[in-house]
Amino acid sequence: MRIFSSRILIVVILLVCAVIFSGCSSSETDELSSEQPIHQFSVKEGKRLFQKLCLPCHGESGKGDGIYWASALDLTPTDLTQFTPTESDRIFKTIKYGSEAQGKSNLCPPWKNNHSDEEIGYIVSFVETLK
Amino acid sequence: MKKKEEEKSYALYFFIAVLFLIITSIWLIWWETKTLRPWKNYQKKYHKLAVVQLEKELEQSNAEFSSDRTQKEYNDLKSALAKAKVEFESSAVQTEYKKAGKELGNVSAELKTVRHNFQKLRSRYLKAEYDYIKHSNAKDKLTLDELNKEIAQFDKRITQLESKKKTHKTKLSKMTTPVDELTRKINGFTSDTDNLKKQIASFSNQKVEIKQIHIPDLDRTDRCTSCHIGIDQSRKVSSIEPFTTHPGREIFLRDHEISQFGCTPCHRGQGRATSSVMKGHGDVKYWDYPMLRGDPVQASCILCHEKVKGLRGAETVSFGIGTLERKGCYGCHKIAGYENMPKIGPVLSGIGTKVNYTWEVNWLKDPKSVFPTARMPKFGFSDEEAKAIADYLFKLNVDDRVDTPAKEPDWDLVDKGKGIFRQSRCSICHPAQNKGGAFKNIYAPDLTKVGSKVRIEWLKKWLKKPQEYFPKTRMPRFRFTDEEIDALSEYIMSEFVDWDIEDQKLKEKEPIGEQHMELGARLIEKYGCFGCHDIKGMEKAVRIGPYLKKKDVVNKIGAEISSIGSKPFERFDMGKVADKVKDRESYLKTKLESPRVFRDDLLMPDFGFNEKEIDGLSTMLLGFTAEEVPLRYKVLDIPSGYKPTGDFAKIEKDIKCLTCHTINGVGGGFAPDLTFEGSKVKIEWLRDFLKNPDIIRPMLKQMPMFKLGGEIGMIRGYLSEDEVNIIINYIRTVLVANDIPDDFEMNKRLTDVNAEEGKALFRKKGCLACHQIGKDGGAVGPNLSSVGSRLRPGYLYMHVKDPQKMVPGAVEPRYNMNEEEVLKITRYLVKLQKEKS
Repeated sequence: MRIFSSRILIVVILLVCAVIFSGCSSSETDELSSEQPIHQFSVKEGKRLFQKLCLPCHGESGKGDGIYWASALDLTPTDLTQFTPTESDRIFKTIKYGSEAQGKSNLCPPWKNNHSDEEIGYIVSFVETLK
Repeated sequence: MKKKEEEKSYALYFFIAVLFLIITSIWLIWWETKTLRPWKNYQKKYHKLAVVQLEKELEQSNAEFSSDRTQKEYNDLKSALAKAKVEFESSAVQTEYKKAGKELGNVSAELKTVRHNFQKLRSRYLKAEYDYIKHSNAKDKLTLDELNKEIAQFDKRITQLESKKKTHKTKLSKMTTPVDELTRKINGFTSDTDNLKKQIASFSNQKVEIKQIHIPDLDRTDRCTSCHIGIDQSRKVSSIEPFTTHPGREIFLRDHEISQFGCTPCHRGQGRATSSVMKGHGDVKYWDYPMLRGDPVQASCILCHEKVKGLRGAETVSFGIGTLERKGCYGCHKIAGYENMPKIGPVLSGIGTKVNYTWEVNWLKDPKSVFPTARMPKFGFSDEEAKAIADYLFKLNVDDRVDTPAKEPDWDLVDKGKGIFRQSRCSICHPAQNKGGAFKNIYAPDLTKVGSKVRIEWLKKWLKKPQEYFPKTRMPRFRFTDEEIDALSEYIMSEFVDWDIEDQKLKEKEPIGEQHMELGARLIEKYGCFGCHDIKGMEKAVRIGPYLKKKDVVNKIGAEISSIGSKPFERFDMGKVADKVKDRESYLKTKLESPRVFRDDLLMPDFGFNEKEIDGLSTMLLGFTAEEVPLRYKVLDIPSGYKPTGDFAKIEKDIKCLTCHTINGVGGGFAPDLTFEGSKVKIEWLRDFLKNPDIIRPMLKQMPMFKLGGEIGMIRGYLSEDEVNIIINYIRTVLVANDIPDDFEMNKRLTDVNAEEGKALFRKKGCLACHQIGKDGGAVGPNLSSVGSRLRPGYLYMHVKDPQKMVPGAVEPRYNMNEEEVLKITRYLVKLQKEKS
């Protein structure tokens, strides 16, 4: 009788330990996945650069309705809200090497010597948010 | 039956107790090694993520390597290498190689001996030279000469040997080059993969340990990188905290290497704590510096950077400091660094002769209701209180409450005045009827209701000599004639009338009695109006607001910490909203948004800050701490101390060039920087421009017409020909840059350059998208139609070469063109001359 009860006790205690330990590890994994990624900075910095470099032609909303573009030329600025996220790479290259390198007109200039890849990446992150 | 004591068995109890002890011990060990060390898991997870990421890259690079084209190239190279090796190892080459090697050894050995002897000779020479200088003996001279000859011989021998050594070396390397070159190329194919493999291996058996950055100078020990292990890596293995990289690495980490600066000097938090996320971030009670995240981190910039204006990544705090300066917080608060600033508001001693009584009462009650951009805050005075203050102020010069009603204007004069108003570009600074006011950095009153505000006699005096009424004004004296002033004031008084105020105006004078004087004086004293305004009889009154930043606070024994950014949260008076305000930042924001929400008897007026201003100011205030950083961390702001000199200074004082323009970092920063103007523009153009400023910038950024030069002499107050010459002379001699090539130099370089090719290049580069020439082109940059008449060739050349060199913030792509292309475009631009009319 005595032996039996202590066996039960051991089993019970082991079970309790298992529950506690598994609880610990699962709560930690929850904590890991619940933290959110940070995009805020790149979008904000991108907006600042966008307003400096792109806004005169593409406009505040990116619809291509800026007021300083060369109206006497036939081409109008691109509507940037039409881009889908899959085209991010193309936007990046257009900003970096200019529209001419993408087989279009030469009116959107290349910024590769003024701004680093990281900075151009910020602009792309901002353009992606335009709707 | 009851058992005897010694017969009872306690085994079960012992067993339970032992089990309890074992479990507690296991739990303790678990708690100590796992629960209190959450960073272990993070590090392990990071290593796993890194390996996954690296393996992905490895797979890619493997795929690239095994593609047919790469494989073919690789195999070709391999066979070439084998061939080269065979050739190198052939007996003929080998004998020659060994022979050359031996010779090289011989030559090197000889060179070594010769050099050694030369050293000895040099010592002898120095001794002889010393003797000769000391005794001037003929014998010593002879020795010197001999030694000189010997040295020459040695020199020759050494050069000979060196050239010999060189030939042998080239011979040797020529034989080994093909093999070396091919081996290098072949390794290039696999170096990426090898590298990645090495990194994977190192991550797989990386030790899990506490990482610590200790910076004795700042008294910091930061263990943040124990969890944020990849924060300063360039490879991003995940975008989830704490595994991600630092946002804006290039801006923030380039000049603040983590090993030198740590984390908490900028982010605050409890750098030493490692037992939980909350503790590490300092989000615990009584930890005075909870972690800053996002924009508020910029509070820490001002710890080291004395000047944050224009500093990348510090836009919010820089805007906050700009707001502080625009709103004049230092009028009431003591803030280190702003002790001696001039008062921000206008002089009130002559107010009785300047404005209408009813307007003044309205203004005191709620300035923003008069015009939304008003700088003066709302104090929430009752009707009675506003009248008392107005009475007190009026009584300083007049005896009555006076209003002058709007009257039927002389329309001819108004028409003329309208022209002058436009020509003088008043609306660049002064907003009126929701237009104008493009120059945001200076405060110029909104003119929408000014006709109901001021008296015409005062307005005329003001327009004639603004500095006479308010010596520190930034408004230029426009040198109007009396007739022009009549017309201009007639226009202003009739155009900008507010009929609501007109309806309230007093029909006739009311004498100001004594009954309000005491209340008025008490209110002015209580709310500290003299902090911003000069008021007769209150020149010595002191600021009423609490300290926001105290500098030498750390040096005082037992000093109270009165810098607001380090004031313990418990010491803030939360009053009525104690349950809503949970931390220092939210306290500051609440205070700025509605200053008197805490208690009823608070004095701070409502500034009506917008969200951006509140963010900026609260960030700045968080940075006003009592902390001192060592000097070597400081980025000092040493002002250029530029002041105009000579006769030019007199003219500048009068027409206030520096209200808009900047020279050597001093000035308004609205109009173009004139620091290098003398090297930039042509004198003929400058002369024409000063007389009649034409359009180079878009509307509302144009230069006001100052009536410089012209047909009328000094007597009427216009600038004479002499004064124009003084300005031009000053610009040409003082405001120049030495690195811009002069006209003579440029003409020489440009003689054989084809302008047509330059034109083609100009079009090819797409410059027209922003610059207008003739009828074509955009309006982002200046119109270039006659740029050759305006700018010197040297400046054009420099600008085409590197637009940001002369104007650091210029929004213009740098093309890094070669010299020839730059010269071609310069030539084209130089040729764009103004057509002679």
